[in-house]
Amino acid sequence: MLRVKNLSFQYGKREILKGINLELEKGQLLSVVGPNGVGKTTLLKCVLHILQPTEGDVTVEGKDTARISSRERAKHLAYVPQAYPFKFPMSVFDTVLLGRIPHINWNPDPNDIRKVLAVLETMGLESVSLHDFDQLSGGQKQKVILARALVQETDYLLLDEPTNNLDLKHQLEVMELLRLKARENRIGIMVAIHDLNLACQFSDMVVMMKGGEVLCSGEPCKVMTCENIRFIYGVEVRSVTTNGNRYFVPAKAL
Amino acid sequence: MSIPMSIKNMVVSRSCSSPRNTIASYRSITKKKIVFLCLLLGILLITILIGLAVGASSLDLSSVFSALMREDGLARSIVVELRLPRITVAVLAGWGLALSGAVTQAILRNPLASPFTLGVASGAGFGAVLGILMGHGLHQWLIASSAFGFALLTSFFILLVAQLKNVSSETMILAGVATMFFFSSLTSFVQYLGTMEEVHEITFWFFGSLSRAGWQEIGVALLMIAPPTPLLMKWAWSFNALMAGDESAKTLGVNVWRIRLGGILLASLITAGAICFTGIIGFVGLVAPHIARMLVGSDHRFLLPTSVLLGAILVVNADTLSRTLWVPQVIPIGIVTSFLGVPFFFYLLMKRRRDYW
Repeated sequence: MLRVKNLSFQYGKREILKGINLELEKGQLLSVVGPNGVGKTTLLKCVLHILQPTEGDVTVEGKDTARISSRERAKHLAYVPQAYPFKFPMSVFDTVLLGRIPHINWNPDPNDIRKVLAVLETMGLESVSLHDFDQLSGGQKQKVILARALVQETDYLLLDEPTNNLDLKHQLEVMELLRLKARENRIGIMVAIHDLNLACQFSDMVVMMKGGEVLCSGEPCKVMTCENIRFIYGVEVRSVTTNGNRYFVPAKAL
Repeated sequence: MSIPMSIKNMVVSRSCSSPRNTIASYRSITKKKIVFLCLLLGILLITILIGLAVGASSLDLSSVFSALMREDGLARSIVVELRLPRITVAVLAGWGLALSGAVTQAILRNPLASPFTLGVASGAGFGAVLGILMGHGLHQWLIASSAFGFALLTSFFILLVAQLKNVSSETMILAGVATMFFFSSLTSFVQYLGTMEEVHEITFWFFGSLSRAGWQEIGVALLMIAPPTPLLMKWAWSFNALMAGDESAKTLGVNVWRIRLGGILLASLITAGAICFTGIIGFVGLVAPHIARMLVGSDHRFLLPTSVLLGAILVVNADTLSRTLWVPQVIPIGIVTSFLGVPFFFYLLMKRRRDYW
């Protein structure tokens, strides 16, 4: 289990995160929702130790992640960032192979190559595997970075806005893939996400944040209510239920 | 975007529909890269042989070989005493400049970076000039350590600039140009204070000259360039990870700051070693890694050795040109590499590709 205990983060004097507590089981998909600037990305970065939390700790299976080497940590936690600042041309295959870095010493063995290939296959990317990363569409790029995180073979995977800039089809594909990977490979997945409908439809757990704190967390149908959404976003919403899924329709900003 | 004419893309353009195909193509690309490295090594050896043979008095290859084997004779003194040291220096300079160029490009994630364009070479150059003046002649270790000190100082300044938020590749290069001007004024100032002979010595040195270094200097330069090379090769994967950005690199288990500081330290040492006895040889550190990237792609396991070999080939060829273009004069090699490098630099600036830099 990935456990975040009383985690706080300050940027200068500004408190971004205040005493965050949350738990993520393997095989679970957890969505973190909240308005812009609420600290979702900061939370992910603190869990990954890209940023050092000012207080609190993160444990994986009881191990304090601040006390293990970054290579060791990379075997437990993988990350899909929001932007990918590639400045040099690199093939899709080589980009995904980067995910094996925590496991290889200098030369990737045939096993590493096979694993990269298997992930590329499941994501339908093998036909472009030797193309330059920069030649791909936004949706394909997102999938390549996701593939990189998957070949890292970690127990937990953290994604920052994985559906941003994707069209409807790719949004659904990515979310379905995440849910599938969580179930099949028993990975705990944590997603910072804006789209409430996707969050509600695909998550096992939802954490709602406001002002750098966790407002409430639990199963989507219990915590994602019109009242809560109005409270954290300041937007009047109506919910509609079709095919057993709840959807939110914004009515007006308050 | 794509890089035309690259080995990589010749394979890429074929469609790979089945996984076995993909794995096979990946393997064949890797194999091609290794073959290509061997080929470059062969070209370097041939280039060296040509360099040993041609010049003010041309020799054929068989007399070059016999001069290398035999103990005495005129051919022996031309080949072993005159040409072999300068070609060894050329190999070392090309190796060092290209390697530190490739490493700085990776560390700063800036395709325009190189010891020359960032002003690190100028810093090292000023350090060496200071060393020459302080030692009244060639005191190898004094010159070398003074060059290293100033190279390091400049590198840390550039690293500091790179830490500022939203610094673009171009801004970093502008900072490098400013640094270059700063050190060239300092050098002029030192020359102004110096005696006539010192001024002559410094001027000659500053154009980039391979003729002054003897075996002792070569030994010092080799000690500064060779040991860091395997260390940097060992970090090839970390450099690869840095291509994906600092945050991704961190979550891939790379200690970003250690790599960045260590890399800058070693690149400065190598730059100082490469130029402290030759003067500033411009553009090799920029051009060689770029050509290497076009040929073998961005995987630093192949990019670093390819850059090293290409750098050595470039400088040895430039030296041969400098000795044969205007016989019996020897054009300073820095002038030759600049004539070759400036058009390439313009090409990089003009052909600004989206997302490339």
